[in-house]
Amino acid sequence: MVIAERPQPELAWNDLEVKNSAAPRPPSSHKTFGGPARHRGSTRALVALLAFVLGFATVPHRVMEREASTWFDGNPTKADALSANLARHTASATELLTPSGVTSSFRFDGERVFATYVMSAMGFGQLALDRADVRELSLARMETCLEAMLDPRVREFGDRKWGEDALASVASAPGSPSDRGHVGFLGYAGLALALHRLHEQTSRFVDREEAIVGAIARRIEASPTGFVETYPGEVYPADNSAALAALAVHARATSRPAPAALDRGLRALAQKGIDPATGLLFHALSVTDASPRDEARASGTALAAYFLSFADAATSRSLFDALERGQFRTVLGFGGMMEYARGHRDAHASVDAGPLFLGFGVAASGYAIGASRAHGDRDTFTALYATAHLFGAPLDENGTRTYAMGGLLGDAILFAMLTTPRAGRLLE
Amino acid sequence: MSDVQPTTALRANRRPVVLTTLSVVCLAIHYVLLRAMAHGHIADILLGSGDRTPPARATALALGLVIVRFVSVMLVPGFLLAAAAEVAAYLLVGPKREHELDDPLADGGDD
Repeated sequence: MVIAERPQPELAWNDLEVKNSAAPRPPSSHKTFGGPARHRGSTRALVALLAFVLGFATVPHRVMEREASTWFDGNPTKADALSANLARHTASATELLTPSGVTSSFRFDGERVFATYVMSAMGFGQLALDRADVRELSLARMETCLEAMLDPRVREFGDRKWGEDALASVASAPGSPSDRGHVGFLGYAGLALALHRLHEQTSRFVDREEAIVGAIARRIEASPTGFVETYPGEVYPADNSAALAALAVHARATSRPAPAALDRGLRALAQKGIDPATGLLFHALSVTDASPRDEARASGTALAAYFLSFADAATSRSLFDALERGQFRTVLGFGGMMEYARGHRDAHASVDAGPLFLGFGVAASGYAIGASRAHGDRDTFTALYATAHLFGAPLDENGTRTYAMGGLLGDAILFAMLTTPRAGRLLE
Repeated sequence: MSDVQPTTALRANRRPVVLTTLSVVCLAIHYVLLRAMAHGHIADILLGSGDRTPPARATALALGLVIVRFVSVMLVPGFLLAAAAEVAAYLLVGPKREHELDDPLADGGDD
């Protein structure tokens, strides 16, 4: 661009100025870009447009990911704020069982409340692993969640399907008809209890933890496929991975050798649970021969990668690698996990996968935050966190943090994922 | 520049003002909606509605926040940078003039 004091009069554009000469032209004290008015105007517009595009492409994800690095390395301030918010809302079992929380689906409503307590307990337990300064406080909060998680009203969601209480089945005679299934409750609850036992060798939860882990091990051993049912006739590998994590953490907490059921469950998962084409975990398997009953999905894979980071770092890593290789995408620096493998365009949302946006799974992307932290993948963690920050809409207020778009369940899941310990740390 | 009428100069150079005002309004609405969403536990209400139709007010609030947050996060930085670029052009080159605004051959978007 040429800088001139005044536009050149001999140029054609000057004719236009003559036509408009009724308007007095002020003398300019500025140096001006030369060229026709329309060129100058176009240049201004172009510069503004380029500035907009520059801002659009480079600023948003950087703003959204600015906390990612501190979360990845352990963020005391934000973790304490999120912890305080969850502690306030999980103070009792009745807190989440208010009428407003009751949905038209008793089962899904119960699962949501149960998952909120379990994931909160996991987050508190993981925070206690990392931070000696808040260990006692975190364990006290964890125990409140464990109490609530074991409350009959909270665990009731599975009873109707099974026709009996999950904890009552644990007390049934080994090998009896009642000694089967319930891995949806027992796996998650067992892992949270085992993590607590890792911190506290003696507590009021020890007997319960021992009984649950024993039942899980028996049921895996007795299963013809190595998988345990979540509900009658329904087998979900992701739920089984939580049960396997419970066995591993229990072994570590009690300094006993891992039970044979852990090895059997891991082998079953590797042989039947993982889709050889994609490396992702099948969502559901048949009870009789563990053949796939649903497609492989990123949500279950990411959740299993998180759980298995407590049990078997190699299997967890292989699941995470499959996610990163096939499902991970970035758009303008924001990362997300596609819920279904390429070629499955008739994909739809589900209770487990959560909403899908252009194929990206909300649950898959959220769980993958934990898996990426477990495996030390800072770049993937950062991109996924930027998306969680954008759509989670965090609000910091009065020393607490909540992710407004995710609700309490979203807060609990993010708390667990953002404080996930490095894979294998509990296995050393 | 001294004999340019302020209203004329403002009219010809209003784009940065419009962009900045739009950005501030977006951020203010975002501030309000975010608190309303969090304090009203709207996400829990929506999750709790299961397969029933969720309350219209909660749905509207959540959709409003998604849209306003998207605009605030994704577009506002660009708006502000564009406004800053226009202000820089104003300082370096001088104000656009009213006759440029009226020029039918001048860039249409350059108001």
